[in-house]
Amino acid sequence: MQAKSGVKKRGGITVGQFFIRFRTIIILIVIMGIFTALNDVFINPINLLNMLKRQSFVFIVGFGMTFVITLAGLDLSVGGVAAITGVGFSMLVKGGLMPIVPALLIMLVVALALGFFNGFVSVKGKIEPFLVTLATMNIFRGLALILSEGRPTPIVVEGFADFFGNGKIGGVFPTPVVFVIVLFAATWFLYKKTKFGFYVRCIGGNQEAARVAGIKVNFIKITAYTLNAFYAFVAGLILAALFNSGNPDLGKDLPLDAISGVILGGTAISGGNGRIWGTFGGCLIIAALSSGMSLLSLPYSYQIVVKGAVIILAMLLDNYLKARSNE
Amino acid sequence: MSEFILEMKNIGKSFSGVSVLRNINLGLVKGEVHALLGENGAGKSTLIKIISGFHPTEKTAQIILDGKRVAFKKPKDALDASIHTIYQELTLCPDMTVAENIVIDKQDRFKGVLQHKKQYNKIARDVLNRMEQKDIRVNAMVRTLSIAQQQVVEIAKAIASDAKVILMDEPTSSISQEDADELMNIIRHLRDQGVTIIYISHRLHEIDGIADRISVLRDGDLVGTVNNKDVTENDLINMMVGRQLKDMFPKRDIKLGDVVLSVKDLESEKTFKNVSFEVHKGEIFGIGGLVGAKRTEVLEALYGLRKITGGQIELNGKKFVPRNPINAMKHKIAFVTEDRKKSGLVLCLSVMENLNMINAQEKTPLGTLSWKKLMGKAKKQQDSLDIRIFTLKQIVDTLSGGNQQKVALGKWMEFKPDILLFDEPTRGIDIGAKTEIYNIMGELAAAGTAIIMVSSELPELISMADNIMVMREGVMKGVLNRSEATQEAVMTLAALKD
Repeated sequence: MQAKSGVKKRGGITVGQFFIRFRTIIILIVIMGIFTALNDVFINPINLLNMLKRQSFVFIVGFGMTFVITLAGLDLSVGGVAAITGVGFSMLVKGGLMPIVPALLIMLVVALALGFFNGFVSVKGKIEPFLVTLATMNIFRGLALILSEGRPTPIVVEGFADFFGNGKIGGVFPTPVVFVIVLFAATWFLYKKTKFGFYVRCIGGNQEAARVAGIKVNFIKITAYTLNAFYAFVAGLILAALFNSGNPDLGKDLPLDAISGVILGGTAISGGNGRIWGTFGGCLIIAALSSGMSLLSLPYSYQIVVKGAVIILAMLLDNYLKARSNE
Repeated sequence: MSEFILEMKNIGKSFSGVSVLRNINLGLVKGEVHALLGENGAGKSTLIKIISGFHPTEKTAQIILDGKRVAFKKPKDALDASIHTIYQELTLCPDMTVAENIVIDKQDRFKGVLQHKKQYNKIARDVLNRMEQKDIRVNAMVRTLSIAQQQVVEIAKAIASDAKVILMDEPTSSISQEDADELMNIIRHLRDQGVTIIYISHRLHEIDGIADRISVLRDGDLVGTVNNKDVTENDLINMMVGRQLKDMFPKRDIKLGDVVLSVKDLESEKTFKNVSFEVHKGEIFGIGGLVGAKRTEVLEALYGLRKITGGQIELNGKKFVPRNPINAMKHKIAFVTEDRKKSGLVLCLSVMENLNMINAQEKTPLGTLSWKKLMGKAKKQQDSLDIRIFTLKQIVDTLSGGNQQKVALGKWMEFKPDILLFDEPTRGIDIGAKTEIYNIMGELAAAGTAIIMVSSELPELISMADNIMVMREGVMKGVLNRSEATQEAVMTLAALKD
């Protein structure tokens, strides 16, 4: 019998390299262990599913953000896109003005247009995506506030909240969790198996080389920002469904939580190197932190301090391990 | 008191169990130019990093400076011991003045918290005068200087610190022949003032002209130290590669076919003008000239990376205006750029991924990939180009220059270009790999590809090209055929003012 190729190399990996490779999951286990020790309700499967549901939008935005960060970019405007999505949808269906599906389609087009705008201005105007989306973060949020006159609009239409927020598949799996899983699979496929994913990595790794190699750099970049807005669109619908209203203030933590998740997952901020599974793990860390601290009734103010501290600690650990493994 | 200013005994280094340098014993005489020679991977860089304190001195090793034993923990220790290194990538601050850059590492000479512009300028002026470099203004921004001038500033910075030993890592790799000659003058000048210089280069003829003694490294061992006047270039090559290199430039005799590319009065505003030449099927067409001759820019224009403002291009008899790289690729033109790290390779991706970057027929970016098939394609290129790696999943950044260049070239092999634009085909790679690149060029030409090669290395240009166009400051100065092309003829066109 012929030996199959792809035999895993077992030896030759140092402890440091092991920690680097599996650091996301190690940090996750440690954090979950701490919360379980403090309150064993935390590890209860029902609580965990609830945690995934409550933080599902962070995962979803994190998936899109992985493409953007792999391109050595950032998108701070996703919270604004999510807010506009929720607000716009709630106003379109208010008082039976429009059925759900056309309202969804209209908001999808709007969201994609916002993402396209980010990408287009950044590429054609030669402005750092960080700066473009810093500006559009405020523009989009402002538009959501103007549209809604600063007030949440309740969503009363049948089926919407169930489909995107509070429903359960098989009586167990909250629909937002199903969205996370389906979108994760789609994202993984897109990133690992399509030319788009490959080109995103080439451009993020070396834009000049990609251009010389005939890769449509501008097109791919604009597509990635447009795609990112799609993820923000879904996140916006889930947020609206969970709160049963289109609220212009929702999703303010969304971009930074998602970026944190992506970075904790090991995607390099310098571009070229993204990790889809890592993003999943990184967002789990963010979700576990939020959920665990809420379970312990820690006020929001303390929660954001801890979240920030964990990110710095994780990066320090990273640098320490890398320095060690190079010796 | 020993005869050496710097003596190294029993220097060795291993990385994760792999020994890259073994039992090196080397002594430097005060005021000598000591060349360090060896193929890529021979251990030169590692040795330099040990001397410059980048790698901490190991306990078993001895470094004796001026009769005193020293040990370096970090680069600063070496600097404090008056050992300075001029790296290939210069370490100046582009938005500071020449003087500021020269005093940047000497701030403990100045008291207080204020800047001392006048003193800075005086120090800088003194040292530049000492080096007889009066063209460089001390209050010029470093950004505005040429690469060669920046190098001079870097050397001045070391001299102003009273450097006893200066290491130069391939200082001529990115400057023109003219500037290189000037650099040689500076080196001789410093040597006469008693500075010891360790000079690393791939260019044998350069070493021949400058070195007093030469040490050759091969696979981590010191093969020997010889007096320059006792050896020939061939001896050195033999020491370096450990085998006889019959011919460094294996030029193949290929009958030229029809004209594939005809360029007439090509012009790109403010860059170059009046460029006219013809390239045939199977031809290697060389473009020579000094740095600043705008040779790369001509290639960029042909590849759609630079706007063409006048003249015309005919491709296989049809008019052609390259709009962008994708458009050029549709016309079967390929481009291997001068700086493989900047625009040739995605350093953080694997060899396999880099080899699969070109996909000319691609209309849409969506579409699934079969990594297994791509792996097969990459494997084919790896075998045919003899890219030496452990696995195709190896990250390109970790490869030697020669292997990187093979990857940069290899990604175009499947594409089968009609015209290959090849900018500095062998810059910064060792002699063995050079010959291999020349062989690949020969094979491509034999298969009918026309190669347009920009090269700053005269022997390479003269030996490999069928015809050579020489440019000076954005203007074509003439085309030489094989029988006319000598180093002198090329240099005359490239350098002499009208």
